[in-house]
Amino acid sequence: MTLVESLLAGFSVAATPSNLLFCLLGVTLGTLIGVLPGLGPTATISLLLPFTFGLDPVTSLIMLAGIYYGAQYGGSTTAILINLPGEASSVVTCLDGYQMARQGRAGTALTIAALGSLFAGIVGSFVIALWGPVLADFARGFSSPEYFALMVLGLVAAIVLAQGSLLNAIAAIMMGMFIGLIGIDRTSGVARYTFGQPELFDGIGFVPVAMGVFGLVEIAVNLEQTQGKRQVLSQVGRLWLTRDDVAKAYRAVLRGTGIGCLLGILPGGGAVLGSFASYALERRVSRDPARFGHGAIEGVAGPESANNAAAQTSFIPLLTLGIPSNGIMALLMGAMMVQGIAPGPEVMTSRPELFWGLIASMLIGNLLLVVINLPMIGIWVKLLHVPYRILFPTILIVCCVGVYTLNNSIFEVVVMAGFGVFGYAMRKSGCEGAPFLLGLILGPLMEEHLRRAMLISFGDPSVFVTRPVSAVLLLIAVLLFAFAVIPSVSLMRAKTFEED
Amino acid sequence: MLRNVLLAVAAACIGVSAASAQGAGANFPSKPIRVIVPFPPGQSADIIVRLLADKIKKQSGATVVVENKPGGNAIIGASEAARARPDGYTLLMAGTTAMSAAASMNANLPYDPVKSFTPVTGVALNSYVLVVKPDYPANSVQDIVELARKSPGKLSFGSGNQSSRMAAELFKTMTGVELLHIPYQGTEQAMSDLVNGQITMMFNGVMTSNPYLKRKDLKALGVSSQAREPELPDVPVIGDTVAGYSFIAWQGLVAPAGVPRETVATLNRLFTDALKDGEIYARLNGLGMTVWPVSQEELGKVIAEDKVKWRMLVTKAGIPVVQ
Amino acid sequence: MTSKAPAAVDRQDVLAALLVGAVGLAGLWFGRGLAWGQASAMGPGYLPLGISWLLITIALLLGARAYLGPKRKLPAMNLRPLAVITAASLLFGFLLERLGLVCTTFVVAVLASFASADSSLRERLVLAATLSIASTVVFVFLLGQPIRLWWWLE
Repeated sequence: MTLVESLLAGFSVAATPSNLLFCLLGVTLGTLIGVLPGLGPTATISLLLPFTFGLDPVTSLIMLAGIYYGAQYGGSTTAILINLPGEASSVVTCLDGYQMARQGRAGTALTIAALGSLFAGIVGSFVIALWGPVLADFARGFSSPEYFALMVLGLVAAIVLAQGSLLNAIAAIMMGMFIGLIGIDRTSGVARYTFGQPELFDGIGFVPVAMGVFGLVEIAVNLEQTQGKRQVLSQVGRLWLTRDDVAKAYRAVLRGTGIGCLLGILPGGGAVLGSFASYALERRVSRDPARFGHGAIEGVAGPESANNAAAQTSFIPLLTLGIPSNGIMALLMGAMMVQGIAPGPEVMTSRPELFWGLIASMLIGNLLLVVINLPMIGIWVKLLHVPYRILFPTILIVCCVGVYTLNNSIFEVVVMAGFGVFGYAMRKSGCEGAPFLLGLILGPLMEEHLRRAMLISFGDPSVFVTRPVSAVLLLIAVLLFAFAVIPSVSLMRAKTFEED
Repeated sequence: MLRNVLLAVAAACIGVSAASAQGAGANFPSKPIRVIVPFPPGQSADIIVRLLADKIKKQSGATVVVENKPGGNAIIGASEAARARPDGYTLLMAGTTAMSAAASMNANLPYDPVKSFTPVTGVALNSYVLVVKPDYPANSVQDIVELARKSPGKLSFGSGNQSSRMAAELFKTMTGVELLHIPYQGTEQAMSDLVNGQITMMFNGVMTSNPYLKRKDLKALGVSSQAREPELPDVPVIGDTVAGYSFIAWQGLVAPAGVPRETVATLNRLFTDALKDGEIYARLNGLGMTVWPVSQEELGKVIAEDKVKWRMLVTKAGIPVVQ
Repeated sequence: MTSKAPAAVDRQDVLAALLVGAVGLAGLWFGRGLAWGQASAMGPGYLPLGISWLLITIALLLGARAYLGPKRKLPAMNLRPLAVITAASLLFGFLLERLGLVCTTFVVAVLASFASADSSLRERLVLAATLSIASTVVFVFLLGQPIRLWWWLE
């Protein structure tokens, strides 16, 4: 069968009234939980799982997948409006998205996020259909040395995306990595910095830290500047894109989609790296990098496209190899297995209606998301009319309840409060939250892969350079680091001489 | 005077609790039963309880609600269950992780797997299969043992969780071979590295291995259970080569210690009825597990035996104990 | 802070050095029992202790830059909102499993609203009541989260 025939067959499955309905249900629910910080797609999907067993396997998969990529859509909303990243992949969206909102361009930011995501979602779905198996084989060649190199590259990207001084950026990343290493060391079983608290055994969660460092700090800083009197973000501005916006953003969307599609296939952290890498790239290729961090539309368009593309292509390992690439994919794999379908290469041939039906539903779902979300943008932006003295207690309550529902744990609420204070000190001393959070995510992954690679190679560090993919990634990291360091060092020296 | 008041209050309390205990026996359950799952949503333990809750609702009308309390390798959820009121309305989805592993690897566990809980019923069993790459020059458990003897410490095994590691540690202790342990966070990456030839072998759950075995990405050398697995009829039992070897991970429901006998009996009936249902049997098989609807006594026996066996293994393998 | 004479040090860098140095020292002190291991079999202390030393080095560099580099003042600070917000979050944690969601959100929202002075008592109470109802509806009724609503309910 040709691609067109297969896709048409897929549409005939996905476009039945009940499948359309469940697709709509999934993406709507996904948007809702994506907008609410804390509660993520994992919890929602597992809550709904028992109800889906009564459904046809294709229908249930269509809905569950919709929740997942719908949540990626919703995640950008709070990041742009109130500087609150609900998930790791929307951390970078805060950087320029929130600045755009402060300049009265929230509508534009939300629109480009939605359109970029739509484009990325459609491309991502086609990538699964066309090159799924090929890309899956590429991802399968990744082992610990490659992952280690990828993590190093990610950390260097975090340095590149930081605004202020290089030294502060490195400090923020290192502090994040350190915090990320708290917990029981998986390799040796030794407890590190847990003080005998079982709550710390699994380490410090990303969401409570992000809510503290971004959400709470933002409230505290806003209030100390204004005493809550001024209406923050009161201008609404236009919702649609100007010709200039489009001209600036479309390349970012294309590049972001490409990066996201590629990194999304890799298990563990791939999707997060996608959004960070896209931001770092946009800043590097921009003719005027100084605009970044002050409301550059490329800084929203690129990462948002990247994370949605990654959300689609992260299905590839599951659908073509039967290997789940993250927790949500493991959950979907469970859902398929409970229905008596063993995910793997056979699915494409033995259950074509399932494979192509799902892909067709992704195309439909992404369209539905834009249809749902575009009219919502007007409403979201109106929220910014609400006086800040009303808005901030609302944000705080949503943060508290959201963090609690993550694991039904009071401890996580305390962690959020603690990192609010820590984040405030970081903010005042010129250390940024985004590199800190990236360090937190990548630190433990980097350690795990470094130690495993060294164990497997019996202590021979040459594996990192003799394996081609790892060598190339490390080379890119070194070059990127050099590009970041050289201007900054010369700038610092220039400044020092001026002072003298 | 004060003493009289206290006595009266105490008597009233006893009266009330006796009445409520009686009431519990007669029309238990009169409110929703809460099952604490010490894992995040979506893990097999969580899915099983949600499946059972659904089935029980249909069979008897009783409501079972799931409460996820993940963290600390299941210790957080288990501690909360151990502290709960022993009225039968709070249960813990226990298993090898919360009971055997936690008890043997933590010096200061806030509960005792035997003393803090009343066993209610077994739920599911999961046995392991020893897998290697298809072109690996070993076709039996015997071959692996010989290869490992020839080059001690050069053959490696991966593990994605503590049970998988323990299955291998038990194999090491019983055969006396030296194997290099490569730990992973979860099974998927370990399987991928195994297929790529980064690691030599792995003890992995039967069902997660099955798709790999079917498409000949891996080959099976032996199963960890005492009898051959219905899913893998051609794979011999490891115990045939290594006399006395057997390793099975289990999941079961327990209540805080001190739940009245008749309440436990009611709960056991409620859950075993659901487990014996054909649909649940098939769903659990789909997840790679065998249903295990056994009496509270049998579950209690397994918990006690495991505690001893795991502690011995942890000491022998030199696994550090969390202080 | 005097505005006329230039400060002797860059206060922002001093604050950064203190923060980073504190994390590094805490890492070394509380991790003193962790084994380094060697490159082929890294111990649990290899990375955390290594990063701690790196943090201390960065702190020293930041300290040096505070003296040598341009001299900035600290950005304006007013700790009251931060203190109220932190207290409110901690209070939420303390009360939630004792009072239940409905009362906790109400109390916490009232407390939090005092982070801003610009609000009437009536407005604070109305807002808190609205938030209490809204969070109950969204999290418990719509999303089915298992949160206790009142203290007497299990």
